[in-house]
Amino acid sequence: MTYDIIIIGGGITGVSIAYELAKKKAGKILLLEKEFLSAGSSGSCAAGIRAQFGSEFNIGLMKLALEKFEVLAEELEYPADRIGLWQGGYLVMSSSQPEWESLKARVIVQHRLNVMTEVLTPGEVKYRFPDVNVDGCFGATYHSKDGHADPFYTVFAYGKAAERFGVEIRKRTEVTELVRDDQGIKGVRLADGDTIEAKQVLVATGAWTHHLMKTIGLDIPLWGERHEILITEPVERVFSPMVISFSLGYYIQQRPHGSFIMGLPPEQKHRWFDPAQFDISPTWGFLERMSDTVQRILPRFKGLNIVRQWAGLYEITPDSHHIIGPIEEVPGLFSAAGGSGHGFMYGPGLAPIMAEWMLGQSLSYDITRLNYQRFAKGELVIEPAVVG
Amino acid sequence: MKEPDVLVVGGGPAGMNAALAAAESGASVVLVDRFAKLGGQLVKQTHKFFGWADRGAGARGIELAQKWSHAVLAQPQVETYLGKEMIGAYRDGIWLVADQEKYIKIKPKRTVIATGASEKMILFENNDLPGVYGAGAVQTLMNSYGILPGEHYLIVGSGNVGVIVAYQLLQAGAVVRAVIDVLPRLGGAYWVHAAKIQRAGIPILLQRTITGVYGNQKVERAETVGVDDKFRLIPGTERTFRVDVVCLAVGLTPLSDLLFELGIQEYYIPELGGFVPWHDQTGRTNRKDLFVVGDVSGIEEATTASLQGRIAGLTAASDLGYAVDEQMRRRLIEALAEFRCSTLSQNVCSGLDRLAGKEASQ
Amino acid sequence: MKKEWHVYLACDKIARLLVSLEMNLVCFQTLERRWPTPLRRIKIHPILTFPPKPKVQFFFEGEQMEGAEGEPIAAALVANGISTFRESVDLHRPRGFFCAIGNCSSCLMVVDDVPNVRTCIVPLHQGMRVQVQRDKGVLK
Repeated sequence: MTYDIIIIGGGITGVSIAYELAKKKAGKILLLEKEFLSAGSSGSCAAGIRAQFGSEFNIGLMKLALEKFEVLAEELEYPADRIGLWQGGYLVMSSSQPEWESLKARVIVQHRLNVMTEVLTPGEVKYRFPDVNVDGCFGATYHSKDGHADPFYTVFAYGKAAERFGVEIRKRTEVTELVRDDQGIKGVRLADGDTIEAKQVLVATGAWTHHLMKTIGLDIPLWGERHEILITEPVERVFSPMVISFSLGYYIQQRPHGSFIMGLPPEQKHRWFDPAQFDISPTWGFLERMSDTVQRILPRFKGLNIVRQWAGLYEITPDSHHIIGPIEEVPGLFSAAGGSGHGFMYGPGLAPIMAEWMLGQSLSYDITRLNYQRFAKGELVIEPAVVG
Repeated sequence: MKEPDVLVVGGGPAGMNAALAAAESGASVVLVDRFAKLGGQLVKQTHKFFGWADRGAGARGIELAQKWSHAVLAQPQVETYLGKEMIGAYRDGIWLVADQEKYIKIKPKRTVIATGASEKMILFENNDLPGVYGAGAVQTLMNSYGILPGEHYLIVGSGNVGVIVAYQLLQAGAVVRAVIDVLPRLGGAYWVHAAKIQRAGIPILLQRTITGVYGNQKVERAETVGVDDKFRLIPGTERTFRVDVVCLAVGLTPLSDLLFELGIQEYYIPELGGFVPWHDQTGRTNRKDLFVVGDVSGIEEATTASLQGRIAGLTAASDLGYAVDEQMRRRLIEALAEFRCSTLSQNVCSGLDRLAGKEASQ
Repeated sequence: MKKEWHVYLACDKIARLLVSLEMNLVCFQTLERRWPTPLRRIKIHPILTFPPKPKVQFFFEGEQMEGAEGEPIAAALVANGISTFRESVDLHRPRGFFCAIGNCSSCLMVVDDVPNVRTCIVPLHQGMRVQVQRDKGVLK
C-alpha cells in the first residue's frame, strides 16, 4: 500500500496539518498515532492562546492562529462549546522595572501589527481585576483576544474533519523507524514490522521527534522537558484572564468549565532526548510551589480544592521555536515539532502554511526561518516573551 | 517531614491491625484516615462474625471496632492522623496528607494501603434520584447515627451486604418490601442471615431486576421485572414496589486510586471486585516497600482483612530488622488460607487463585 | 396524641421485642399502614443504643432545623426529611445522599457560603447555614 503522505503523530500539529493537506486535495493521506489522538503533549497542556509575543514574526503568526481559532468550530463543523474557545485575555504581569520596560517595548511592536494590547498600571490592574494581588507588580499588559481552548476537543475536531476529507487515521499504531534510501524518504516501519510506503513523510511527534529522526541518522536538536500543571474543582466563572509572568514563570486561568488550571516551570531542567528517559510522573514539590504562588497572586481563591495534578512534556529546541519544514538531507521528509510550550496555540496557524510548504505552493506567511537548517547556519530565532 | 517506619493508609479492620502488628514489633507507625473516627466500615456492622473465637468470631463489628481502635490509640508507637485525607502518592516515596491549610509530608520506609472499597452502581432509569442509596450509606446512617433515611425499602442484591442490611433495617424498625437479585440463586449471603429475613416476612425475589425509579424529586416507587436464565426481561412479570428508598447492594470495588498513581501492577478479576493490585501472600505488591490489605486488595470481609493487616504489619516490621515472631507470622498466613477456603464463597476463592497465578511485573 | 399513634407505639414495642428475639415478624408487614409520617431518628434498637447528643440549631435554605452536634451535615438533613442536596450541573436534576464516604459528589452543598462541601463527612455545628447547591458553586 502506498500513500502520498504519511503523517506521524496525532497531536494538534499532526491532525491540523492532515486536515489542511486533505482540504487541498493532497492525495492519499495516512495519519499514524501510537496511542490515541491528543495522548501526548497536546492533551497535557494548559491550552492557552496568545498573540502577546515579543518578535514581529511570532506576533504575526499568532495573530493568524487566533483568527483561525475564532472560526474553528464553524470551519470544522464541531460544537463550539466543546472546542470551548474562551477569549478572556492574557494579563502579563511584570515583577521588576526592567521587565516592565521590555513589556512596554513589546506592546509597541504588537500595536504595529494590529494586536491592540493595553498597558495597565498596577492601580489599573487592581481596578480591572480586583482579585489580582499587585504587590510587587510594576505594571501589566493585557490583550483581550488572548484566551484558551479545549485541547482534547480541538484535536478531536481536527481529526474528525480530516477524516471527512478522506484522511485515514490509525490509532494505537506505533512507528518504530523511518525508512529511506539514497533518493530520499521511502516510508515508515511499524512496531509489528510492517512497512508502509509514502512519497512524503511528516514527523509531528513532539518530544519523540529526536528519537524517530535518529533512526535514519539525523540528529535533530529537540528534547523533552517535564512541566507540571494542576487543576482545581470547578466553580462558576469569576475570573476571566490568564494571569502570567514570564520572569516568575506562573500562569493561572479559569477554564470555561469553571476549574482553574495553573502551572509553573520545573526547578530542575532535564534534557531528555531518549523516550526511555521521559518521566511525566507528578511531583509534590510542584504542588507546594504552585499552591504558594496562587495564594500570593490570587489570594481570594486559596480555598479552592485541587482535583488533579499531572505532568507533560515540553518539546524544546535550542531557540525555543518549532523545527518545521523540509529536512534537506532526506528529500520527501518533513518535520513539524518543537513548539517549546507553544505547540497547541501555534498549531492551527502553522498548519495551512505547512500544507502549502509540503505541496510546493507559495507560503502565505514566511515561516522558512523555522527550518531545521537554521541551526547549521547559526541563525537562531529569538523570542523574549516565553515561560520556562 | 514525618519519617515513620511504617505508614498505614486507612483505619478499618485491615489498617488498624497492620498498625498494631507493626507497632507491637517495635516499628514507628503513622496511620491516616479521612474519617474522624477509627474503625472504617466495622462501625456499622451490628451482626456477629463467623470464624474463630481468637479472630473475633461471635463478636459484633461495632465491638471489634472499639476494641481495636482503643488498642491503636493506646499504642504509643502509633501516631494517628484522623479526619485528614491522603491526597497523593509520589514516585519519590513521599506521601501528602491534606490538613486544613497545609500539606503534611510523610516519607515512610514501608507503606500499607488499607483504603477499602467503594460501592458499585448499576444502570436503571433515574438512578440518580434522591432515595437511591448505596447499601453502605444506609448502614452508616442507621447504625452510626441512628437515622433512617426512609420508611419503605427495596434492596437490590442478595449478597452478604444486601441481606445483612435488610436484617439491620428490620432491627431499626423499617419496612423492607423485598430483596431482589438478578441471579437465580442467593448471592454471597450467609444462609443464616437469609433465613432470618425470610422468617421475618421479607421476600427474597430471585431472577428479578430493577428497571427504574420514579417520583417527584425523590423516589416514590420502583419498577422491577423478572429475567430469564440469559438475563432477558420477561414481559408480564413487572412488579411495582411503593418504596422511598432503594438500597443498592450490588457489590464493591477496590478504592485503589493511590495505587494507580504509583503505577502498581493491577489485574482485572471480577470475582474480587474489578481491578485488584497484584500481591503475594504477605500483601506485598510489585513495589517492594508497598503492601495492600483488606478490601483494596480484593473484596473479601472483615475477618480476612484483619488477618491480612496483621501479616503485612509483621512483614513490614521484619523487613526493617525488627524482631518478629516468625512462627506466629507463618501461622497467620496459614490461618488466612484456611479461613478463606472454609468460609468464603467459591467465587472469591477462585478469584484469589487466579490472582495468585498472575505475574508481578518489576 | 391521636389514638392511632398509641396503637402504633404499643405494636411497635412488641414488634421490636420480637425482632430482638429474632422471631417471626409477619406483624411488621401488616402493621405498616399504621406507621405515622417520618420518624427518622431511631428510638429503640435491639442492639445499638444512641446516647442523646447535644442538640444544635442550623439553617437549611433559611429554615431553622435541629440536629445533633458533630453528626455529618447530610445525616442531620436526612433526619429532617430533606432529600435534595444539590442539582446536577447541566440538567439540574435533584441529587441526594448516596455514598456516605466522601467519594461520590452527590452531596455537595453550600455551607456558610463555601460551595462544594462534602456534607456526608463534614460535621454539623451550631448555627451553620446550609444551602442546596444549584450551580458549580460561587466563590465569595
